[in-house]
Amino acid sequence: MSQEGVQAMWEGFARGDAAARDSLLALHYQEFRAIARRVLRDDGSRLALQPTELAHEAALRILKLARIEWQDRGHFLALSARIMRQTLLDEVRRFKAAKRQMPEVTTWLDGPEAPRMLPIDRLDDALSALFDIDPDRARVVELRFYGGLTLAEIAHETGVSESTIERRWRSARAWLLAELAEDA
Amino acid sequence: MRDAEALSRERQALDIFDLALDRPDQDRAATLHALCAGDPALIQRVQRLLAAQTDAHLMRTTPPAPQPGETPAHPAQIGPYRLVEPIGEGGMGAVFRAERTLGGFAQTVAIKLIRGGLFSAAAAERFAQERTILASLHHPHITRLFDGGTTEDNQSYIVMELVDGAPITEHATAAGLNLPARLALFRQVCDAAGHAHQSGVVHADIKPGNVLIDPIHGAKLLDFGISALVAANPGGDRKGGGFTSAYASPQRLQGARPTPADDIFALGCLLLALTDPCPKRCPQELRAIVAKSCAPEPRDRYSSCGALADDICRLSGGFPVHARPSTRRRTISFFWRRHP
Repeated sequence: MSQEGVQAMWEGFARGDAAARDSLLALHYQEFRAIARRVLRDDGSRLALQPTELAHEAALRILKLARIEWQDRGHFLALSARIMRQTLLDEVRRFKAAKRQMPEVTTWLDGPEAPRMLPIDRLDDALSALFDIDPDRARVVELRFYGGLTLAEIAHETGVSESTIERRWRSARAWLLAELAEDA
Repeated sequence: MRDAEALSRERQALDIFDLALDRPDQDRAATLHALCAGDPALIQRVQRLLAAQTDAHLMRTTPPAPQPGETPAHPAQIGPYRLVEPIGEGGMGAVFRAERTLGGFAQTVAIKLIRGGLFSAAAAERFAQERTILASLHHPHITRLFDGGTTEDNQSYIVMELVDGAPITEHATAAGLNLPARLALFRQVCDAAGHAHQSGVVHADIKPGNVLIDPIHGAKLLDFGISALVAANPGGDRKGGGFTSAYASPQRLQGARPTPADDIFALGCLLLALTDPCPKRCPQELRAIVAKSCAPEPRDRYSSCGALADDICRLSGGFPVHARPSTRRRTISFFWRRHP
């Protein structure tokens, strides 16, 4: 893939061209998978990871690879949030399927005393359920949790006011916490 | 899976939740009743969501991780050092290979540069602590600290010994090391961790990626970025983030502060990773050492890195190890293995 070709894809993606987005996904899927796999490779019985960090690592590597300017960072992180979520979950499921003793892959929610650990696939199931109910709210969580975007950046990326994003985040968060508490 | 009606009710509950939260507390009950048109199930559902608000601190509004966008263009020169190329990128900042020329000799070092911009005060503090910790450790198998400071545009940095080598497990595979050679390297790591413990420092992230093998000087324990002072800051904030390793003890996974016993647990995991591919000359004893290091309860593990290193020594020398209760029969069999 030539540098110009990649640049054109990014320009297309920035304009909202779905084909360009899909090409970028395909182009960088391997990078994401490599990062997700590296984390899962350590053959432990339990494993804790934070998707935000993985998405950032992927973003850093790919930005370097593709020589993307930082102006496109928001776009890129928004995109990487989606790919990282999908890739990570694929890999986690494969990892669990490959192990007889079914190791738990966990993430954590920050608390003032101790972090609350929870299986990452359960968090993702809850997020998928929220996508069914209200994709706009779920998208904010995806960008926030998997992409590490700030609420201001999410507002900028989605073209919705920051106060609306803040409300969506607030209610989406409460919904997820209630959902996770229910099947705890 | 919710049906279409349930989905729309959930969306409705979310919308009402948003409206209710915008009202002052004292009006909320009345607001809820009005917005839900008196539907008791809907009221209950919104109340459940409102109750979950009390856990909201568990999902922070501000991302905890530093933003890649804030990565500053790195300076070309820091003090006498010329930055040559980036060699690593971590959550906190980047590591560069750097050089300085002194009296006609080029010295190559590693410079760790903290991210500027929106970097959190806590992370900056951690960076300062890493510098203090490294400065207090002097050991042939721990990376040395040369210098540190702040650049003109207010970026903190530390100058460290550059280790040009592969992670211990990769090195062992690439070099085709036999079991005694692997155990010798492992003992160096035990010595390094033991020295840190004696200086009151827990590494807290021992794993192959943090133990590099220098072709001349052997093992080098590096990245004290999340290490902790044993006595300092009791009940402090070193929980949660930081470790992503399968080498974390059950206590660490529960979110406890790191202790020397957690390092010993990680050393046990490292030993297993390092020796697993070996044809096993003393599989039983080796397994017993790993099991004792990785015991679920800290009190069942080795009491110190020194004790672990001693058992490795015994294993290498063909003596019975402490990890298993000795029997006369086993002592004799060991004797014959030593003196065939």
